[in-house]
Amino acid sequence: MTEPEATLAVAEPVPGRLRVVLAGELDVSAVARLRPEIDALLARPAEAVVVDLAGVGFLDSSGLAVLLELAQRFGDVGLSGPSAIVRRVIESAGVAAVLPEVEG
Amino acid sequence: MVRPGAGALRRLGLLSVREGTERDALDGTGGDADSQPAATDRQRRAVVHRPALVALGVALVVTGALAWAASSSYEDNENRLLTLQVRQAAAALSAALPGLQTPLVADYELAVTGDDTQLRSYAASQVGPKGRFASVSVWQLGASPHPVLVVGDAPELAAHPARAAAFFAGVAPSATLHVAGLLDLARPALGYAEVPPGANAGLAVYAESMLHPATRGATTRGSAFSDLNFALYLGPRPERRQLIEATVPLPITGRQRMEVVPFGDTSITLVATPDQPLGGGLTQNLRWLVVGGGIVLALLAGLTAEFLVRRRRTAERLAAENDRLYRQQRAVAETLQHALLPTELPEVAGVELAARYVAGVRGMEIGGDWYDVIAAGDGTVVLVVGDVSGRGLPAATTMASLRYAVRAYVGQGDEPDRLVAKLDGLLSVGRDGQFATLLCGRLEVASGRLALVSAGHPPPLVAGPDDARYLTVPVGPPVGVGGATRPAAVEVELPAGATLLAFTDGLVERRGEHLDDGLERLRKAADDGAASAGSLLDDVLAQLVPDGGDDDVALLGIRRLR
Repeated sequence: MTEPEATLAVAEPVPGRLRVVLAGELDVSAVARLRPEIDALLARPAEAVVVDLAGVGFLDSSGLAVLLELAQRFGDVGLSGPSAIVRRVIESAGVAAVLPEVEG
Repeated sequence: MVRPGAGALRRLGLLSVREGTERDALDGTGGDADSQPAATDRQRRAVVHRPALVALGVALVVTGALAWAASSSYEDNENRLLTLQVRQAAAALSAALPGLQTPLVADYELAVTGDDTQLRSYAASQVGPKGRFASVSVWQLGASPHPVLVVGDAPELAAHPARAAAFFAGVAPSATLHVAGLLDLARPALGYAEVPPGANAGLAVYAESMLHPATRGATTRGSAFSDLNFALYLGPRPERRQLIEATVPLPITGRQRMEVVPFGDTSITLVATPDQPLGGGLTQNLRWLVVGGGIVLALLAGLTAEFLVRRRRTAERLAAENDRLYRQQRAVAETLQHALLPTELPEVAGVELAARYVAGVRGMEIGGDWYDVIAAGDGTVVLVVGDVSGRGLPAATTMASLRYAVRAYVGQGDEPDRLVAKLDGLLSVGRDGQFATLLCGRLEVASGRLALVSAGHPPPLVAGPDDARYLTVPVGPPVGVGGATRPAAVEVELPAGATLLAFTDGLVERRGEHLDDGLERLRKAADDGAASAGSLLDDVLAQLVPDGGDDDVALLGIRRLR
């Protein structure tokens, strides 16, 4: 069980619009480890956030909580490139409306 | 998996107990070397471990073998060199014979011609300190052989007519030098007689060499044989009374070689022994160098092995200690978890209830899964299965507050949909970093009418006698997410004899697998129509999480009796 460590990277290609790239297995221990970066992200001002999930292979309730935190904080949060597995987790949790998929 | 409450409190530090008692309570590692008293541990540390002794032993055996090989090689080498040098010495000795015989033959020829003056002049060069002989004489042979001409000292043999007669009786003309043997008379001497082949003058030339007074000489230092000590004997055997000369006190002991060299009509036996190692001191001392070096290396090997063994033992002890701590932590988490879950389910006529909780093996923190069953008293039963995101105490305390809130709202008469909406006010993912999924249902026992609400939770399964299928329940957002409006409760009928199975996602979720595959696995596992709700739950757990899943699993079954 030695998957590559989950990572979080933030870019701001257009002022006020953040692009968050998550990768790896977003589980309870990964979220605990990424907590300082997540808190720093939540503290940034932004009008809209796109979360790139293309590199995320696994998402548990803790990972989903991070996405939902972003949605509550920024309001406009779109998901880019989630795998079928991740998409199914989001749908089954009834939060597809809160975390819509977006292009790019 | 559940431990007695007192044990849990001890582990939590809420009960004060002695160290030993606490160790006894930790049956997970009990009986293991780790739980031995510290004194035994110290004792064990004082002894040398077996691998170190083996390494030491092997190294010493190798050292012994090498020393033996070095020693054996030294012996072989010394023997070989000695043989070689003794042969060379014997060859040198053989080469010396013509040097004795040739002048005597010349003397004889002069004696036969009767030119005494020339004979005396010639023989004079052969005697004295510079010559080989003490005396050279010409003898008239016959019944009583006697010297007729003498150059140098008077021959010893002349003083002993009987001996002279015996000697010259055996002297016939031949190419061979006749050796009179050792004349152990007034002065020890060696006599030689020469009568060349074909001679018929009745004369013989006789010479004597004095032996060293103490029959002891010394080989010249720096000569080819300076490393050897010799003893020379007349005749084919090393007999003491036949000793001509020796450079060491006799008898010769230790390493020695013997060569017999023809010498006139007899022979000389040469016995030689090394005065010092012929191959040099290094080869002699090599075995001791090997032994010394080998012992040092053996000790180093032993020490290294001991060091490695101890380091491994330490690592094993640490691993055992980590394992113990892990089990301890795990036990605390499980105990706390079970303390927060219903101790027993209510007895409700017309239904059979069963619940299970299996802690995940991956983490050692308490989870946020729960189940609950509340008999409402109006012939209905409210059932809840929920899951707070995350792990640890925050998840557990949120779970506990949600569980008791549900109980309170049921007490106030709230229907499932209203109840879930009210829970939203208790939790906010933005504030708490947590949300909770929840499946809440109210079953009218008599009719089987079942109202269900899902807040982001996996759908329940209905396992009938013949098949199992998921109920379609509209999924609203989880508790704590807010925003979206919640769908109304769905109403279905639970047939008599069927079991409603509600669970948390740990039962079906696998890394790298689509959720639908997990759901299908569960459906198939529940397809067999188990005899009771409890056995259905056990079957499902045995098939889906035989060794415990990664995540915690809460499982609730309610079977409507016929």
